[in-house]
This record gives sequence, structure tokens and C-alpha cells, in this order.
Amino acid sequence: MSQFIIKYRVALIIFLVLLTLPFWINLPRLTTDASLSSLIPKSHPASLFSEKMEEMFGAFDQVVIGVSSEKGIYTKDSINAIRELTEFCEKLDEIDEDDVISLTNIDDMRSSNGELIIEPMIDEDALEELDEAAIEKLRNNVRGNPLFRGKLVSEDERSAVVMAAVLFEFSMKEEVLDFLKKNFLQKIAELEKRYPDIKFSFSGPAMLKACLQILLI
Amino acid sequence: MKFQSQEAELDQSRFYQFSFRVGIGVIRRKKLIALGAFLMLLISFFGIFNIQVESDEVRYLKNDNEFRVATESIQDNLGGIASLDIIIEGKEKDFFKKPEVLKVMENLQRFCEKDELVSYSLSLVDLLKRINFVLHDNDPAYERLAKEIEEVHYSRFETINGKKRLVEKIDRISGFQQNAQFLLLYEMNGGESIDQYVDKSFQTARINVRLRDMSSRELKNLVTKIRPYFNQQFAGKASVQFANHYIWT
Repeated sequence: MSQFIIKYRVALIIFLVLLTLPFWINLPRLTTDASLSSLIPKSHPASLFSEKMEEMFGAFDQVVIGVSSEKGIYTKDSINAIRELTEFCEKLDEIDEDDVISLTNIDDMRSSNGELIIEPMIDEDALEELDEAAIEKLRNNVRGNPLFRGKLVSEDERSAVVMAAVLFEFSMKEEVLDFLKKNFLQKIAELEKRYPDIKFSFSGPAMLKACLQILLI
Repeated sequence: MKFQSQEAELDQSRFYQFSFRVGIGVIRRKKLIALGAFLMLLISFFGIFNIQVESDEVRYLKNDNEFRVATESIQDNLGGIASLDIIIEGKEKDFFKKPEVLKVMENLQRFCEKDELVSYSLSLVDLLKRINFVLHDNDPAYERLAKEIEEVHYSRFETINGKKRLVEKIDRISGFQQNAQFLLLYEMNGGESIDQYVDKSFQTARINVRLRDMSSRELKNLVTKIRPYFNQQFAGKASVQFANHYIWT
């Protein structure tokens, strides 16, 4: 047997290559999915439960963008950058418009004559003008609100976060996540040019999948 | 004749010579090779005890990777990028309007926040505490959940002995009623956050626990701690499940 293999080694190698050729045909159709969730079958109870909960409470997969400045987050530039990012997120089809949270679109509560009033933390007019008084009011509102202090804005007030939930129907689609990632990075690059003092940290579980995707290819 | 020529051909083959020498070497040193293999196996046994199941995908990336740096910056300054959702299901409708249930839920949040992995948590409890605080003119004494029975102090004019007098009054309402009224008031005035934390029938609620890290090992430890605490606190009146992509693994 060994003598046969040694004698016909070249022919055998050619035969083996030819044998594997049909499998190469499907090579272009191969897809990559780096997410851990892809390891779980869609019919698995944990997967079904998660889907049900996302329908009930909103999407869980988020894009998270940190906005930081040594000058602090309560500056005209920082707030404008947050607002632009927020509006950008809200316009994307893949993002749940109602599940974009940032300093410039959240609601605050106050009472007046026993009435509960719910209004934007910073209103449209104040966002347009963004004078010292409007910024000071915003700072005081956040400082006095445990729902946002240390959560949307860091304790040292040098960083703030913009969170945007990816719609469930897109959160498992690698090409959509990759497209989203490119879109976000493009927007951030544009903002970095206009706001050189501001640092943007782009992350989030949804974008992590897209990043790992590149490593697999 | 044919066989002899084949043999000569094989003798000249470099591959044959090489494999022949290797084969002879293996046979001569069979005990040494077996001992070496056994030693390697022995060493690997010690390694088995150091194997840890970990699915923190961020750690797949190099330390200087842009995405990893950004993620760690958010984890250090802004609470983290991932969260664990604790889903609690009560056995009846309006379960999460009950003051005693909300109190237990608040205790569960504080319990979670003691863990190093947790940066903060948010739920219906935080929303109700905020409404109570705001409706009491930002009085810090009311930055709390409703008690079983709440006293409502107010003053009104009443006619006593034919004269109008301002009289201090106290009404007693149940905490359940207060919670229901607060939530109704909040929704009627345009509040949109209730849906994020409780379903329409107030039977299923969600506590969003923000995690500093995405370590599946630490997450598993946290869940292992939460379960017995939950069972002890809710005493069979509710069930708990967890939602997080990493918890599956």
C-alpha cells in the first residue's frame, strides 16, 4: 500500500484536489456572523424569550457613542455635537426612532400648582440659541435628576452618552450592521473635523458584531 | 526484474529515505517518545483547571484596537455598553402597582448595584420615586416610593359656625391608589418611559441593569447571586428570567 502511494503520489494529489473542487463552488456563498447570538437557534426558548421581551419593552441591541471633552460636556460645541448625533440616529431606518436617548432629546418632569409637567430637558429654542443661561439650566436639571446624573452624563461632567437601539429585525443582519457601522463612522469623522476638541467613542453591542465580522474575513 | 528496478527507484527517493530514518528513530527511542508524550499530557492536565469559559467579545480585539479603546472608555466613564435585563413576572394584573412589590424591587436593584460588575440600574421604581419627588415640590423627603397607606395633607376653607375658616385636612389613601394615579398622571401629560419598564397590564416588569464589563463569567456570577435573593424576597409571588445576549452562552 505504501509503495502504491509513493509511486502514484502526484496522481493522488491531483485526484484529491479534484475531489475538493466541487466544494469550492459554494465558497462565495459563505457568510460570516460573529455574534454569539448566532450560536443559538432561533427556536431556542432563550432566543424566543429575548425576542418577546424586545417586542414588549423595546430593542436591547444598542449603538453607544460616548462624547467627551476636556472642557466639559456643558459647552456649546459639546451640546451641538450631541444634538447632531442624536438627530442623525433618529433619521436612520435601522434605528428605533423612539429609542434614541441623549441629553438633547430626553424629557424632564416638574410640577406647577400641583400639576405634573413633562417637557424636553432642553427645548428646541434653547437648543437653537444655546446661550449661557440655557446651558446652565440644562446642567442644573441633570445634576438634580438621579435618572440622568452619572448615567447620561458622567459624574465628572466631561462625558455624555448617546444610545440608539437597533430595531430587532436588523440586529441579526450582518450586512445591515456593517452598513450602519460605516454610516456612523462617516458621521463621527465629519463631526471630529468640525469639533476638534471633542472625542467620540463609538461602541455598543450591535456594533461589536460588525467589528468582529471584519476579523473573521 | 521489475521489482528490483522499483526497489532501486524507492531507495533513491529522498522522501523514502527521510521517512525510513524517522521510522527507525521512533522505534529506537520508543520509550523516550512515550515518556515525553506522557509528560506533555500531564502538564496539560494542570492547564485544564485554569480553563475559563469567557465570551467577552471585546477581549477578542487587541488592546490598542480603536473599538476596544472606545468601549473601555465608555465602560470607565459612562456605565458601560451592555446591560442585563431582569424580567419579573407577577401572578396577577397590577402586580407592579403594589407598594410592597415595588419596595422589594427597589431592594433587588440596590442588591444588584452592590456588585462590582453593575454600574447602575433603572426600573419603574425610579420613575415613581421621581414623580413623587416632583409632585411634592422637590421635597427630598418624598424621593421615595409610596407607603402602604399615604397621608395627604391639604388645607381648604370650610364654613364653621357661619364663618369661613381655613382648615388643615388629612386624607388617607392606599399606596396602590397613589401609584396608579401617579402613573396615569404621567402618561396623560405625555410621559413615554413607562412602556420601557412594565407591560400594559402591570404584570411583567423589567429592571435594566447596566454592566461595566461584558465578561460572561462575571455575569454568570451575578445571576447566580440574584436568583436566591429574588426567591427569598419575592417568596414565590413572582418568577424571574434574564435577558441578555451573553447570558445564553
